[in-house]
Amino acid sequence: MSHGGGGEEGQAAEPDLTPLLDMVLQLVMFFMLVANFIMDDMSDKVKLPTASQAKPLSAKDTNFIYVNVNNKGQLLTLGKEPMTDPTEIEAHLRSVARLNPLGEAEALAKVTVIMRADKNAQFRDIFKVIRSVKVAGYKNLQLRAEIGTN
Amino acid sequence: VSKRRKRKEEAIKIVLPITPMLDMSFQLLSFFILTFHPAPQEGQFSMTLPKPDASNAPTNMENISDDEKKDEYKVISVSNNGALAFVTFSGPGRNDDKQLSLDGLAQELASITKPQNVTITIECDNDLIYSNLISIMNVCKSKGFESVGISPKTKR
Repeated sequence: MSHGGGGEEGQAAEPDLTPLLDMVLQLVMFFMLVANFIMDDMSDKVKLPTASQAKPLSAKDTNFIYVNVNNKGQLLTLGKEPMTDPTEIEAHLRSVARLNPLGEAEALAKVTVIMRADKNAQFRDIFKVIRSVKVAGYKNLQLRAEIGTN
Repeated sequence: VSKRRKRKEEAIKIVLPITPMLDMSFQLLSFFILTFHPAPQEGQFSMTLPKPDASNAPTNMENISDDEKKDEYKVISVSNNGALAFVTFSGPGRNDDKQLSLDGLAQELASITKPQNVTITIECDNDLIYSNLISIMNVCKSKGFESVGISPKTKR
C-alpha cells in the first residue's frame, strides 16, 4: 500500500485456475471410468494367444457371454471355485442361459459363447469345455485371441 | 451508512481455496495415469461346434464336425508333445503323408480354389498347447476358410 496503493491491485497477475481444474477433473473422471470398465467376466488371469485373423466384436454383436479357462484347464467363474467337472460346467452354463433376459430357449439359440482360454492350456481341457458348451445347448461358439502378429 | 455496508461486504468476501483442490486433483490424475494399463485388443474366431458325445474319453470320439453338408471335407492332423511338431493335410485327392510346417500348410490351403465350400476339422493331440491350435486356425482363416471345427485325434 505504501508503494502506490490501488495501482498494485490493478497489476496483480492471478492465473485463472478454474479451466485448468476443469480439465484435470475431466481427466481424472476419464481414467476412473476407464479403470472401472474392465469387465468382471474378462479375467486378467487368462493370457490369451495371439492371432492376426481374429475379428473384434462389432456393434451388432450384443448377445454374448464369456467363458474363461485358465492354464490348468479350469473354468473361472465369479464368486465360485474354478470348475473342472464337465457336469458342473454344463450346469453352470445352463444356469447362465436361464438367467439371460432373452429366456433360456432363445438365449441358447442366439447367445454366442466367447471362450477366453489361456494360451498354455492343453487341448483336452479346452475341448472338454467346448463339449460342455455344446451339451448345455448353445449353438454359437467363438474362440478369443489377442489381435496381433503371432 | 453506505460506507459501512461496503466495509461489511468486503469483510465477507469468500475466496475459494482452489490450490489444495488442484493439488489433490493432480495427485489423483498421476495415480490413474500410472496405474492405467489399456487392455490389448481382442478378437475371436467363429468355429463349428462339435457334436455332443456321451463318452468322456476324447480319443474315442469320431470326427465331430457339425457341418457335414459342405462339398469337400478336409482334415488337418496335428502331431506334437505339447508343442506343434508338424501338421498333415488330407482330403479329396490329397494324402496326409507329408509332414508340413504352418507355412507348408498355408501353401496347401492356398491351392484350394473354393474355400467357402470346404469344411476343415483340426484334429489335435490331447496335450497340444492351445496357442498352437489358434496358430493353425489362424492359418485356415487367413486363407478364407470360414467353416473350421476342432476334434481330438481319431484312432486309426
